[in-house]
Amino acid sequence: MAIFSTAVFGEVTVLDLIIFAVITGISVLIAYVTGFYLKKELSDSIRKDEMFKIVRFVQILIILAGVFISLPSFHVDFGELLVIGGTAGIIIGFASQRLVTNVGSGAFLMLERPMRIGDSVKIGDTSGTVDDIRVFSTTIKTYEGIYVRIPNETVFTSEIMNYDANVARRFEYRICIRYNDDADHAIRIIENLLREHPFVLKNPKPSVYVDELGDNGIILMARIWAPSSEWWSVRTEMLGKIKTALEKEGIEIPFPQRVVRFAEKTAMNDERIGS
Amino acid sequence: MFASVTYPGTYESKEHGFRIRQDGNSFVYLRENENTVIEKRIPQYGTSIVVHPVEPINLPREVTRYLEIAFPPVIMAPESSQTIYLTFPLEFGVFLKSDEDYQLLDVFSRCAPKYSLYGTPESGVITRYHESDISDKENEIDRTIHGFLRLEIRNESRGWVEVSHAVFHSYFMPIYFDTAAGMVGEMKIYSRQMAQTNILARTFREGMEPALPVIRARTILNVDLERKGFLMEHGLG
Repeated sequence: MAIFSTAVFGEVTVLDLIIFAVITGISVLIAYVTGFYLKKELSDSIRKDEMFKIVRFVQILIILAGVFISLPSFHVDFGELLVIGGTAGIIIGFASQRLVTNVGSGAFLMLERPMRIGDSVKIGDTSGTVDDIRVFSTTIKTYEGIYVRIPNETVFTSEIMNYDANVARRFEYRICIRYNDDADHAIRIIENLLREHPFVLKNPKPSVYVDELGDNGIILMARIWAPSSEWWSVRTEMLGKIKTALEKEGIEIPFPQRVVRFAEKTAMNDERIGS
Repeated sequence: MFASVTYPGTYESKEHGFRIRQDGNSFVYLRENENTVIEKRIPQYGTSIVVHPVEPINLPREVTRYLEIAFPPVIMAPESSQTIYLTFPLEFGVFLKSDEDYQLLDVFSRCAPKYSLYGTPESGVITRYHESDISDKENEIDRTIHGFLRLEIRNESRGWVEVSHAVFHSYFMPIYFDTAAGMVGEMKIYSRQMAQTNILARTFREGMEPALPVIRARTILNVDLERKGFLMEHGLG
């Protein structure tokens, strides 16, 4: 078969190209199958983000191994390849500085790990859930379901607020009751409700106290700790329950009010009006 | 209390509050209480249903893998050991079981769940929290609400230590049962701030059967975790 021994460029023949393509193709196929089985086996036992990292690492390793095995068919001198690769790396590095900055930032983000996939975060002005941390960019799914891609350089230099970094977090309610209601009784009602809820943490204890004597009523403060994964559901659930429980006991949330006093009719006032 | 239900067939457990009924050609598992209705279609053949005690970290939903038991303070002399009897919250797991494998179908409990934080928000862990008295009188405890934990405390430090908390990891939490559920745990105290806890693969008393573990039902980790345990490094009191 003369066609196989036909030189395409330099000493590389059609057969060499076919060998390279076949070996690389097989390695891609093996990487794909391995990835599938790894996902299947690991999905129940480790975190999703860690699983993806392991799968990607193994797949890249397999493909690189395939390319490495198939390279001799190109009669490549690895010494030369390293020199060429190094020089090309410097040139490409200078030419694509921003790109390299993003890659570097991505690497540092992966090392520092200020957030993980699935965490609720605020990066600059963007709030949402971390969808993926890639080499060049980090993707966020906002709470409205919008996909946002942020370059890693921006992420690295921005202030990151991670709401899930700690296992527990605190939130608070300010509850206003009327001046003629029994504040101690209201506090007991709220404390009982908090005690009954499974995700209102036992320790640190929730604290409920009179925080302020406001314009319209007594302001009670309730400070509650909950698991970070559950705090939002607890927050949305408890406020309505507190309102209902207080109203059931005759304790009401006051409307804004102002006491207006009219001057009394006195002799002195009459004189002033007359003059 | 812990049952194995012949299946396929209809069944109604007033004690557990669930029933299995036939609906056309298939069967339906149904459990109702004040707040929830659990209804699941289950296979027609090749399975049985068993009710076993399970690791008490599943309700109302799994948010942690740690169980914390608070008990009245126990003063431990230097290099001494003591065995105390505690309770743990009992959760019933309903499993579909075939010859080779099993699948968790439902979990319920008569013990109100409560969660807590052991340690700090930055480095601590969320725990399923349970308060227990110290007692070895089984009759005084409602076996449908609580299981028994025999805890062997060993103070390996050279100082006096007061203990009133024990935190256990549920990755390895073998529970055994007969008419009640029981576990055996150990706690090695290294200092006033630090101790190692383990649940041991040992029956609470003779003749108990091992319960199906939920955690292993979900994982493929097959390594021996008995020795791993949990390092309590945020204090013991």
